[in-house]
Amino acid sequence: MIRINLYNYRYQQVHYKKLRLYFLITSAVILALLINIFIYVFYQVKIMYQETRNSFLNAHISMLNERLKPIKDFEARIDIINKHIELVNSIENERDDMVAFFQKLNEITPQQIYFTNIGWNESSVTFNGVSSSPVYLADFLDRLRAESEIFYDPVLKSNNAATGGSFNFLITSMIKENLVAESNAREENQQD
Amino acid sequence: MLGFFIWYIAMRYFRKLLQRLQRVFFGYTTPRCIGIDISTTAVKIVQLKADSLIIDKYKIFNLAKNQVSEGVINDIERIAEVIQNGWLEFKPDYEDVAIAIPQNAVIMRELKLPEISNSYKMDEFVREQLAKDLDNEDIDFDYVLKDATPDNQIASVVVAKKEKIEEYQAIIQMSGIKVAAIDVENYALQFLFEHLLSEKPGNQHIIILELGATRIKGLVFVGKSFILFNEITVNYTNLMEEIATDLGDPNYLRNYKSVYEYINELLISRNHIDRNLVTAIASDVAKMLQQLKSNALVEKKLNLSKDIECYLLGGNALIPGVLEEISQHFINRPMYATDFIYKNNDKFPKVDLMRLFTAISLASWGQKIDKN
Repeated sequence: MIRINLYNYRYQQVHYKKLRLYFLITSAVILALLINIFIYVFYQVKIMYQETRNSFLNAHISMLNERLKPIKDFEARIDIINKHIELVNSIENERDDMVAFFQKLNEITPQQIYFTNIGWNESSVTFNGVSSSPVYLADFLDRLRAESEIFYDPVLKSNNAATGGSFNFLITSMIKENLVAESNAREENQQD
Repeated sequence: MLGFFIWYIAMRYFRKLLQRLQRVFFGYTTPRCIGIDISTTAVKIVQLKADSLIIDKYKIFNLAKNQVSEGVINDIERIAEVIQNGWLEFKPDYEDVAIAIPQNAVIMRELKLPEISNSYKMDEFVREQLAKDLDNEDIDFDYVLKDATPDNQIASVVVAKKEKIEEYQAIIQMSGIKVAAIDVENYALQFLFEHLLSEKPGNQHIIILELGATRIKGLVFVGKSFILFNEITVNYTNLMEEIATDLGDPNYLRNYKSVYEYINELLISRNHIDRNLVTAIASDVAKMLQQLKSNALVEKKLNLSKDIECYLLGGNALIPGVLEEISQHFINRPMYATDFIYKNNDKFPKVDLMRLFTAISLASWGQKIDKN
């Protein structure tokens, strides 16, 4: 059925279409904002929850650490003991050579020679000491040379007069390895 | 009391807000309207019950002589004042009104439309075409698609000068009322009768004659389908004034706003037959019938049958003797068009209902009367 409307309803239609468009855009913006706020709040809540959990876990970890501290101390003590064991073992391994060295040194050192420092590494030895006279020092050098099975190439590096008429000396000498074996072999030869 | 007033105001604004939201979401549709028919003799205001053709309330405000003549409003301020006062007295339930402009204020055109699916572009095309054809851009128009096949769309366009539309709009808006629909008088009647004749047999020829104070309109229907329309100008003022002088009180007439109202009192309520007036009206009706028959034959190739039904409406149709005089042109006795609506509106006087058809049709704007 024909209905003619000369009122400018088309303007109204366009006007409300525009309003609808603006409304939809505004709604979309508000919705996007709401979604963003929701996501932000959601994650903030999750972060807060996780932080609460973390602090709870940290508290419990600290409590456990406190409880584990004696065990850690014990482990540290085990380490120290192990190191001591290693040290003792190494000393124990080198003990025979050292004894042989000091035995021999004791045999050949004259009465008037006093050592202030004896340095020994694998193949050389240095003697720092004090002597009341160069004669005793010469005697000591002779004795070192005489003990060629153990010491060889002894060299007097320095011999300086000190206060009170004494002399500070430094002697270096090469030393053979396996002193115990050398010493044992010599003793066996002597017995033969 | 104050609480009730605040509640009333709040509800009113809430209803407005809801209406606007509805328009935003579902698009603009013409709201329910109050029909205001500005005719030569009176301003008629009608409010229908929701989604029906049942009159809820109406008012007829008679106009003085020459305030409106042949569809031209001569005294705009006075008419606006009548409408404004009438509106306040009427206390309508709706805020928007539908008005009608006379047929002589519009012209018809047929336009062949290109294949356009977008209604906005189609409107623009029609506007441009009309502006080009009429060499005038100050126009308002509406159109209906006669043939809706995509490759051959023909639009039947009704065009009115913007100034004419604005004149009518201004009268209503001066009264502080919003216009939501501007119909054309004969299209309004056509629409109403297409509804009222919906139960008629498809091949029944029907003539609707509106016997107005200054115009006689004739509409021809076959079944409920509108076929053609014709209109002639008439003038019975002198005859009526003579009758008023002869039968009534001449001094009283001077104070009377409208001779037509006085004629109602003198002739209709007394059932007095004035032969001169009846003959004049019957003669004009005969002229109208002759024109309708020849137009039907020439334009529509339709030979109006002798058992054609005729329905009368308009203020002059109830003048005693008119119906009988017109009956001579028909095999079946003509009837009053109020028969279609009287069943649901029997509490209102027939003399008023006869004059309210255009206003009823206007009041149906925004109503979903199709479902009833």
